[in-house]
Amino acid sequence: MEELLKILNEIKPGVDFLNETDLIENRILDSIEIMELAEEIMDVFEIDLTPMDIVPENFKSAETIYQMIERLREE
Amino acid sequence: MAFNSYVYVLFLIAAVIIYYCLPKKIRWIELLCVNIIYYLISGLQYSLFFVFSIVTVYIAGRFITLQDQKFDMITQNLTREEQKEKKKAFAKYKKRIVVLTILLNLGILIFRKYFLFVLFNINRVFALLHISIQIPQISFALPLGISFYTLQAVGYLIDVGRGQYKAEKNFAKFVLFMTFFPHIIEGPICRYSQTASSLAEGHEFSKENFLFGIQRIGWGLFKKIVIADRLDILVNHIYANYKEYSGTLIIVVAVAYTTQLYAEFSGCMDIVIGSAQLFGITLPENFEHPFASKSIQEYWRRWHITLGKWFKDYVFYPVSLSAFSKKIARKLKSRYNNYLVKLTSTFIALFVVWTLTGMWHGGSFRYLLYGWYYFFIIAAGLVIEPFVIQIREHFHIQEHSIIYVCFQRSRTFILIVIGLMIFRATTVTQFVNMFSSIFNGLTISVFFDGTMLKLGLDKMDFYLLFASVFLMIAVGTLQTRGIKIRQFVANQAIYIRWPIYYALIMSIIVFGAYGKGYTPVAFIYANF
Repeated sequence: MEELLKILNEIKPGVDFLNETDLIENRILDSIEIMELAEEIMDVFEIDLTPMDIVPENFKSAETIYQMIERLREE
Repeated sequence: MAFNSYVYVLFLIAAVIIYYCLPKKIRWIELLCVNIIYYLISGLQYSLFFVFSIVTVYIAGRFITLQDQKFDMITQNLTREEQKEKKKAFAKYKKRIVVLTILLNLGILIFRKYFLFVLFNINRVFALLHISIQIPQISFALPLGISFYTLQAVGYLIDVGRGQYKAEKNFAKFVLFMTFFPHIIEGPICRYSQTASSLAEGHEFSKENFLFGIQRIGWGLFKKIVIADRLDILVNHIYANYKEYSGTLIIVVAVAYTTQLYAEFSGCMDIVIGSAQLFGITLPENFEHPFASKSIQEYWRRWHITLGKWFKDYVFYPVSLSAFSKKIARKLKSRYNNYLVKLTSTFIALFVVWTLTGMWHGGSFRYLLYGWYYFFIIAAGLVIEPFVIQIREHFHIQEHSIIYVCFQRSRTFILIVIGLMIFRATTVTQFVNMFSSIFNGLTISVFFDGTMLKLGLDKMDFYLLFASVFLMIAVGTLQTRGIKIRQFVANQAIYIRWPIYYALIMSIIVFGAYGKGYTPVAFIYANF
């Protein structure tokens, strides 16, 4: 989780990612930043993201992003 | 059947009355019949193309859902590894069906939009090479709403293919989702998950929905007929004789066209969303105060929202995460490690998105240029972003300070106006000539020496335009501050409320810019 928070803070500094509950609806992350994030996640966590993973439910908060990473790691 | 015609108003009234007279259970059937009648009246000769899209996408969707059910059945007693194997095989099979159906549907769209464009350019190449062969030009119009319903159908199929929801079983309900008449011509491009169940459900009559729906239609008509159609006269006058104008007048017409397109397209969406609201159906919004944007990316999240979202979900993300993009990104990353290399996939995807966005608007080089213009601005913005941050920090400029926000909004507005100059021009050459002539003859004297009154509009027209555009901006500003205008008007006492309604109706009738014999001016996006 720490590593994910580090990535998020690099992409969008100044956001309280631990407590932010809707990164998409509240327009904190735009599509280009989501792609930056996806690239970093794929590199750091060595997983493969597909378009099916890029859905608002997976990117609502740091917690849901981490759950997605965990799920993909298990698969 | 244009939205700003009397026929549409009468059609809508009849459809709404019958809808609420019928039992709730069968209201969706009335809506389906109304949709079919609307399409047949408006574009009978092209119905076959629409029927083809509906049938192929319905069958493909059902087939995919049946495959999913089959997968669930045969993998019940398999080990996890075996399930993975089967899943891969099924996914491959489903992908083939989705791709084939999409190609068939997009094929029609591309053929209908690009056939003449390709023929025209082949003839031009022949002429340049002094080859005397000229392929005869066959003229045909585009099937009504093809650009919008094709994207809606493709989006539905991809979602079903991705397993986001099951395909609609009931063919009539699927037809209802595809054909809902208010949004068939100009959108918004709806997702199945947004509207399908609401369309199929019989809604209770609601006074609030009815009143707000009518208010929204009235406001849309006001924007279209009083503002956009009046500006249309000035814009057409200068564009038809653009060689005679330069400097300030080109800036005037560029800003006028930007205002016209916004008033018209957002006005059309008001009519569409208001019409749907009369039936108790909520359609997605397509505009959210686009001129308040601080960047071009933000602008495209606020202008033609449903098109932008469609391209984001079905083109931008898939291309960014495609094997091709990943491969190139990996290769570059292995050699270099900097900020730009990390954005390789994004740049590739942005290029594809903006090329397709340009192409979606029609067969013309200027639309391609229009798309690439935005690609260039967004890509350049990403490239210089670290430097901009450094400069801001160096000069201690607060990101949210009023001056900086004003600078960002003004810069974005100028870029939008230039983009729409490309969009409005009939050829790329016309755009280049008009744009370069801006710097020749910049003077404010045109506002005082009577030049403005020789552009097809008189003094009264300009007064009306200033007042109505001011009203449009004021309404927009209040909405951005969370004030619900329709609710506010509805809450007023009858002696305040009704004069407002009358003023709106009378202003449309009295101040509307009508053509000869009160003929309505066609909607720009209806041609796409």
